[in-house]
Amino acid sequence: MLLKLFRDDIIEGLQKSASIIPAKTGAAFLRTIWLKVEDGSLKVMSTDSNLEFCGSYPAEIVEDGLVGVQGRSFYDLIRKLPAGQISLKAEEDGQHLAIEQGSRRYKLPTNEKSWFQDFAEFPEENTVFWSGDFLSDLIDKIAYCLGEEDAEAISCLHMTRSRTGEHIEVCGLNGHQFSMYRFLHEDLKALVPESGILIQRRYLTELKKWLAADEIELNAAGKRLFFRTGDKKETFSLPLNFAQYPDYTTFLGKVLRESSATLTVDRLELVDALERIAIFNTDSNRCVYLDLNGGEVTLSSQGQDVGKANETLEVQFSGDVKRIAFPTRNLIEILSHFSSEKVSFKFTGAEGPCGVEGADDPEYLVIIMPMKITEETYYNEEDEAI
Amino acid sequence: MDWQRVIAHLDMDAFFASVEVADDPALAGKPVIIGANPRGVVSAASYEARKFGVHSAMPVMRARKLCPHGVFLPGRHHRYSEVSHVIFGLLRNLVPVVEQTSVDEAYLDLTGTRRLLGAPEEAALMLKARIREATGLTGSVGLAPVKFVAKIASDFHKPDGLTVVRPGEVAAFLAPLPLGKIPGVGPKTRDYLAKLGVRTIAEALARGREFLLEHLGDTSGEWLWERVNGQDDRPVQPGGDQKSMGAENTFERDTRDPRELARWLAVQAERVGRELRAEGFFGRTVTLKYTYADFSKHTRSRTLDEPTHSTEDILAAATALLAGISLERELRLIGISVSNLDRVGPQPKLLPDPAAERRDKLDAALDAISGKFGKTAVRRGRTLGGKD
Repeated sequence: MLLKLFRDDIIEGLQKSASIIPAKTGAAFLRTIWLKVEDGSLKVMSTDSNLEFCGSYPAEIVEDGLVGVQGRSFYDLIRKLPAGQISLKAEEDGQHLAIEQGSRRYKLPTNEKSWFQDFAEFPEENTVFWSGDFLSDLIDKIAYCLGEEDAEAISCLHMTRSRTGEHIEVCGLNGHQFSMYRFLHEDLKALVPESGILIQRRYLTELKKWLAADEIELNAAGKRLFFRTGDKKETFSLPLNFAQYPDYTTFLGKVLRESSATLTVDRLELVDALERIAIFNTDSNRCVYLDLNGGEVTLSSQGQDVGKANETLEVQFSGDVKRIAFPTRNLIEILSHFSSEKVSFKFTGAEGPCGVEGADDPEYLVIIMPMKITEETYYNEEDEAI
Repeated sequence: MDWQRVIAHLDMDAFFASVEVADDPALAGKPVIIGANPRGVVSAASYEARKFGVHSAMPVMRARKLCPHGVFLPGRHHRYSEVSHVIFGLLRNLVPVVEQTSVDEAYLDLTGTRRLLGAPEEAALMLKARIREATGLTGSVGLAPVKFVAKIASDFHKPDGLTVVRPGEVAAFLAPLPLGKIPGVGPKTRDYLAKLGVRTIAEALARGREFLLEHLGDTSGEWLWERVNGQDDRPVQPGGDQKSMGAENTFERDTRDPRELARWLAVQAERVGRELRAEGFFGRTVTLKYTYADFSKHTRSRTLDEPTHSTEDILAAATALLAGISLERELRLIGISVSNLDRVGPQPKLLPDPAAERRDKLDAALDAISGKFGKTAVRRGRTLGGKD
């Protein structure tokens, strides 16, 4: 294998490729970046045995071939080289890749070619076109509500057709918090199976790194989901999860149909107040209390040794909830994903699920459980000593 | 006889019901009962309601039968907390050492405050007046040289009472009282001694120390002997916010038997869990305390992801900690404490969690039975064989 290429043509692809391979742990073949030269192009490929990345980059090809190098070292070296032409040559001993740029010369050991396994090809039939920045925003709106347990369905982003069949519904659920975004996309609807699509949290993180704002292509086949750049030069694929996703319609229905109180508040004003209140949270008390009284909500928090905070905001409120508490940081995070000037909290009781909506975010809904709080002792009876 | 030590116990009168009346004067003179859930219990009753036999911890259904024309209110515990904070803020501004024991009760150490607050009776009257001025509520105060006598005294002339038991009057004050009046004497001990013909403090004194030690054991017998003699050296402990709750046992014989230790942990977890639930606290840090036979003391802690007051959660954490300690040597003491306390519990789940629901229901059922029939009326199987 012999080729010449420009550093800046390959560096972004190498970065994406290197980001999915394990940095230090894992089998050596999983820490490999493969360089494959055939049909007049250079392909850069890597996998962690689940995710697969393949990018095609311009190069001056002299001789075809396949080489696997220690991915992190190769990427670091190329990254630290100045812009300019680089030549890559597989040594005749079959054990080294020679890298040259001007007077700079390096040799990296290569891995066994027999370790290379073909990567899954992007399925061309029924490809769906989608916006990269829309998908990126969507991941942001959902991912923070995903559970931490890797093996469970609640660590997955769930994409399904809405009950009415009109929308695509994407949601995340971590047990205490749920977010859902709905949108219209006829082609995507045809791609999503009846049982929905489940993507694990850790794959979303890598997908997000790979995504650019441009148009992307999307397809599914062989239990994998494929993404490809609009110019067809880079492909990213991930395995789908086929666990049973929890039925969220019960609490969703409760919030949509049974809310007994609504609080509407200026979003940024609330976020600012919560940021200040959070200073008074502790490890054992990480919540903010909301005391609701007509046109005012009083936010408060207090903890041992940290003092107390109290702020009153003017709001619109109607309903029967007097006091409710939420984890302060979670509330701030939720509000940061809305763009509306005003947000509304729909309460179903002091200890029931609470929906958060914004007028300018009509397709977005977040549900959060309030904290369980107890008041001071109802009546006191001296402990029996004997 | 001069006051060497003077302790006041303040107990607000029918606190929750009185707050309701203060906030809604139309309720004045009516039997007000806090507790409207037919399946719940009464958490407070006004003195007008008490005339009908209604009292706290009584099932609401029964209260409705006794007092059908009563005003049953669901309770506004946040409001009661607000008023409580006003009262305790005021007390802490006036008295150097205040120990709050509940939302509406406190011990105040008035020792050495004569120049600051006047004579003890004057100080008590002044505090009562200031509370009334600030909240419109009345409280009853007992003054005595020790805590438990002050507590008994505060209940003597309710409402709006002041009962003073001077150092030389303690014995005469206590003598005629039933043993059950002593805070800490439970119904089981009271009934047991009654069967032996000992019903009053005077009768217990007459039987003597050996009698109590013989029938109640060394620790409990000694404790009761001190009380019937008017002795209680517990100080008034200021601070306010509770930092931890715990239970521990010193074994009669040193042991390293894992089953025996596990059984004691189960007893202690039950005790600590019940106390946390009764006080409305949740804790995040579980600490195992243990002392080897050579008196070397050790602790190990585990901080949980979520705060808890569940007996099972506390026991699970303590058991895991026990598994990590060396039992090559025998232990003479083991104990559990829960710290990092707050009134905020875990964040409930959006999806049903049947295991947690069953666990909470079991805790609630055991607490209710223990509350009504005594702490040994019902026990978890794994605690059997231990001595609670």
